[in-house]
Amino acid sequence: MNRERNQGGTTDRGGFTLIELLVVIAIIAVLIALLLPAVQSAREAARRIQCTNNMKQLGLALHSYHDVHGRFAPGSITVAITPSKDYRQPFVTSLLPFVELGNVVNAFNYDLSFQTNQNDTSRLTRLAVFDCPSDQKVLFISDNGGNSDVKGSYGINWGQNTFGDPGLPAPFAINYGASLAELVDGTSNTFLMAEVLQLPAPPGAASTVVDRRGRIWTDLSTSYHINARNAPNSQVPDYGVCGEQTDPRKAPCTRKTGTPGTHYLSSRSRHPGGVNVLLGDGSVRFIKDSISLASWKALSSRAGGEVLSSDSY
Amino acid sequence: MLNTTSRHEPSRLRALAFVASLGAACGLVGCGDPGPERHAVAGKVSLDGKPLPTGKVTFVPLDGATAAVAEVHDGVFQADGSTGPAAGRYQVEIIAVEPTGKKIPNPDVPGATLDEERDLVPERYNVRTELVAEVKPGADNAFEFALSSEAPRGKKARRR
Repeated sequence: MNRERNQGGTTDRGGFTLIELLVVIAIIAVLIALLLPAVQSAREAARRIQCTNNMKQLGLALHSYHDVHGRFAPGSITVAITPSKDYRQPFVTSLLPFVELGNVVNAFNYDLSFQTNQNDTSRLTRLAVFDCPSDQKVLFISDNGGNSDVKGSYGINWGQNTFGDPGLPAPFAINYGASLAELVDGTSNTFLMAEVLQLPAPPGAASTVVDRRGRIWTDLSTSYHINARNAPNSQVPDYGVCGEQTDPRKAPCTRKTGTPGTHYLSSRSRHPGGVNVLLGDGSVRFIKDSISLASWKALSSRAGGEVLSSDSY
Repeated sequence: MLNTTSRHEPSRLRALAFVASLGAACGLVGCGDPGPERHAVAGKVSLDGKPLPTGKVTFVPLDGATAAVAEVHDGVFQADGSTGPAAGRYQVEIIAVEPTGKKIPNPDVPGATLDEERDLVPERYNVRTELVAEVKPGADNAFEFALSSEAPRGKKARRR
């Protein structure tokens, strides 16, 4: 056949002209150009997986704590003995022995409140399990550096409404951590922890103007106490001791220092489209920003009796 | 034979070039999501009949993801088309504080003090808000909120 056609002396052979070749190369170039940003998203996906793993470790720590003490770690410990002898501990101090941070625990004096200078060593030790790789690592600085501590990327479920009013009961509160039996809605339908952003002090602000969001070494409002009042990564500003100029696009804020009971903080992360959330059964889910507010609030309550289908989050 | 090729090849090439340029254009421009269209809002806030001197009006979405914050100056607030809310139903939270003049210890900075603040607007207008507003496309979206620091007296939001 071939031979016969060649004998005919025509130029009709299977082949490409130069222009066809150039067009094909152009198309390949366009496809590669489309692919390159996807390669960069693969990096973010890797960071998100590491972030998920950290949260899983914290979930295991919470369950280990539950095995020892019969309930989850208290949201924070605040005992007012006298104004000068208050005993105060943040959530993180209860969890430290269960995430293999023995040396940090040994350096910490549980007889003293967290903010005393004797506990500086522990407060200034970077806790890798509390740092989400997608987030920045921020040092909370107050008193011009005289009283500083490391921030963290994971907060706890503090109810549906505000710092002083959970709405429906939540797994954590001041001096309270629920037991598994008290998660009446079911451990798979209640979240324990979610992500918060570590935010630096507002740029150019005085040293007394602080942004508490992401501060794990404190028992004060708007630090790691997540309210399901607004959806994850909400555009609704956080309300409390935060900086309005810190990051108005990603983490808007309405600053207010007084009446901490009315403060509220949304779960936020640097992952595109959602936040990692630790459920009571120890699983970590990626909750989308577009979750319906009713489902998000139902996930927050531990004994609300809501009917929540697992395909709604 | 030569005739057929010369007649068909340009049209095939044109189609190829068209597809390629389409792809290139999409790659260059990108397919960004501009988000929902926002609308300008404006209005007045008064407390006990007097215009609220300073404060913030927050539109919290009941359906949708677009929130908006507008600052109040002398009882008037406005947000333009770039920062306003998208069409939809909103809860409205109004926040206003004033310093009491007293100094209290700063809980974050040992030894330092900060100005004590007092809420001007009751909780039923912010953290437990009863105010609602609906933003509609094409309307002038002007709202008037008459707040009272006394016991609640029915619905406070009304469209002008």
